[in-house]
Amino acid sequence: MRFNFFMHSILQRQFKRVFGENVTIPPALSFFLELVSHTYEGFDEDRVLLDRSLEISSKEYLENNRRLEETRQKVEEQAKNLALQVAARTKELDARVSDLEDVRRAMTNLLEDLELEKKRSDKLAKDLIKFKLALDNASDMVIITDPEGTVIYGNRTVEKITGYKAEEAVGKKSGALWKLPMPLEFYRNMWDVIKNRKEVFTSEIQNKRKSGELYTANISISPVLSKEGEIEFFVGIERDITKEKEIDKAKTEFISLASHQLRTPLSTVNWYTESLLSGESGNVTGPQRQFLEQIYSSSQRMVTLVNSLLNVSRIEMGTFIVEPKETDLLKLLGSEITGLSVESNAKNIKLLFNSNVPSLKIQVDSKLMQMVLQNVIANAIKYSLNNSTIVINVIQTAQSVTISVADSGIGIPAKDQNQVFSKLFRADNAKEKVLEGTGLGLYLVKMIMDESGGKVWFKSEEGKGTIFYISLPLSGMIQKEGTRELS
Amino acid sequence: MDTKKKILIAEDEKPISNVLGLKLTNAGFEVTIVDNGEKVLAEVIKQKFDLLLLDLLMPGTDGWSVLEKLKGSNLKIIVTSNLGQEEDVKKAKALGAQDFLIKSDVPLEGIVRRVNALLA
Repeated sequence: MRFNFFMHSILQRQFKRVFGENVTIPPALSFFLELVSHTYEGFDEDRVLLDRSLEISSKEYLENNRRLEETRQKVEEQAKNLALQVAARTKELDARVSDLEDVRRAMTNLLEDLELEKKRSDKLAKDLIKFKLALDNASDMVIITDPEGTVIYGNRTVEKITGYKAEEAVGKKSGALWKLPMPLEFYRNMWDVIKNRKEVFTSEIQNKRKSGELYTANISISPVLSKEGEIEFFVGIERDITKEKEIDKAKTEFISLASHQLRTPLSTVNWYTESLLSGESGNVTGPQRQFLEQIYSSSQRMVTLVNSLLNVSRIEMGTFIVEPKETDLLKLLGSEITGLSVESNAKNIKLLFNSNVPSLKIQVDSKLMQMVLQNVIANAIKYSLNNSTIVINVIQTAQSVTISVADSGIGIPAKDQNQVFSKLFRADNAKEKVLEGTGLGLYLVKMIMDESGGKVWFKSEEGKGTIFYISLPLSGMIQKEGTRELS
Repeated sequence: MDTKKKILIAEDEKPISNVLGLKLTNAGFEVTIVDNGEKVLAEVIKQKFDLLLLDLLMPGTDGWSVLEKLKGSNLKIIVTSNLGQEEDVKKAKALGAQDFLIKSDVPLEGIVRRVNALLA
C-alpha cells in the first residue's frame, strides 16, 4: 500500500492487519490515518523522551543512589569511628569517675577522721575544763612542777592557803614564794626521795603564808614518770591541817584535864582510906575496918572506871596511836597471865597456856596488846566459877595468829551476844554474878583490834562457858597516827 | 644512927601532900613539903635532898619547868601525877625523871616501895 505520508510502523501493521494490503483509502481516511500516525509518532517521541528522561532519571537515580551509598558508607564509617571514640572516651571517663570516686571516698574518710578528732578534742577540752574546775574547787592545794622544781601550774587553792596567787608562783621554784621555815636537812631528804629514789614523799610540814602566819600542812609530792621511767614532772598536794591540829590539841588537853580532875579526889580518898586501914593514924575497930574496906574497894572501882573512860575517850576522839614494834607475843601473854595470878589464885582457877609454835615474834603495839589480853583474860577469870580451868591457846597459821581464851564459866546469854561489844553493856547474868564491871572492857578490845587491823569474836553458851578469839595477820598491827597513846 | 634520907615533896593539893608526907615520915624519911615549882628550886639550893617527889600540875612554875631546870642534876626524881598519858611519861623520863607514878593507881605503900627501891 502506498500512502502519501510516512505512516507509523505500528499503524501500518495495525492497518495491514485490519484492511490487508490492497485497499483503496479514501482521502478523508488517509487524512485521519495521517493524524493517527502523527499521534503515534508523537507518542513515540513522547515515549522516547520518556524513556530517555527515565533513563536519565534512572541514571541520575543510580548516581544519586551510588552517591548516597557512598555517603552512607562514609557516614557509617564515621559513625563507627565515632562509636569507637565514644567507647574510648567513655572508658576514659569511667576510669576518671572511678578515680574521682576513690578520691571522694578518701575525702569522706578524712572528713570522718577529722570529725572524730574534733570530737575527741572537744571532749578533751571539756574534760580539761572539768578537771581544772575540780582542781580549782578542791580544798587541797595542788602544784605541778617540772623535774627541776619550777612551778608550771597551781590551782586556785594555792591562794586560799598561802595567800599568794597561783599565777605568782608559776615560773618560780616551788617554795620560792612561801618561804620555807623547815630545816635544810628536811628539803635535802625530800629531794632525795622524789628525785633520786623517784618515790612519793609525804610529811607534815610548817609553811608560811603571805601574811607571815605560820601554818601546819600535810604534803604529798609524787614524781610522775614517763614510760621510760624518766621524771616528767612532780605533783605536789598540800592540805592545811592547822585547824585539825588545833582540834586534836584541844581534845587531848581536855582528856588530860578530865583525867587529872577525876583522879585527884580519887587518889585522896584512896590514900586516906589506906592510911586509916594501915592503923598508922590510930586504931581501927573491926566494924570500922569493914566500912573502910568497903570505901577503899569502891574507890578502886572508880579508879578503874575512870581509866577505862579515859581510854574510851581517847579512842572515840580518834587521838590514840598504834605503834607496832616487833614483840614476843608468847612472852607478853605469859606476863599477862602472871599479872593476873592474884585474881586467878583467889578463885583457885588454873590458867593453862598452849602454843603450836615455840616462839612468836610479831609487829604489835605492846601496850594495846596488853590491854586486849588483860581484858579478855580478866573477864575469863571474873566470870569463871571457882576451881575451874581456863585454857589459853595460841595458833599460828600461814596467814595469821589466833589467841583463844576458853573458860567454863557463866557464858553469855544468846539474846545478849550481839551487844557484847557495845559500850557500857553488861549482860544480866554478868551483872548478877559479878558486881564489878564497867561494860567498857570488850568495847575497848574491839576498838583496838578493829583499828589495828585485827579481829575479835567469841563463841558462848549460857551456863557452859565462853571462848574468846583474838586474831592478827602475820604482818601484825597496822600503824596508826594519832596524837596520844592509851594509858 | 643512919641519917634519915631527905625527901622533898612538891604537891599543890594539901590533902595529898599531908597524907603522903605523913606516910613517908612514918616510913623513916625526913620530909619537906612545898606547893609550887619556884619553891622547889629554892629548896634544892638550900638543902641537899636524896629524892624529889614531883607533881606536874602546880600553879606558877609547874613540874615540867622544874624537870627542865633540874635536868642533869644528881637529884633522883619520881614524878607523881594524875596525868598519865604515855606522852607525859615519855617526856618526863626524857627530862630526867627516874619514875612516873599515877597517884590514883598506886597505893601509898607502893610509893614507899618505889622510893626505897630508888634510894637503895
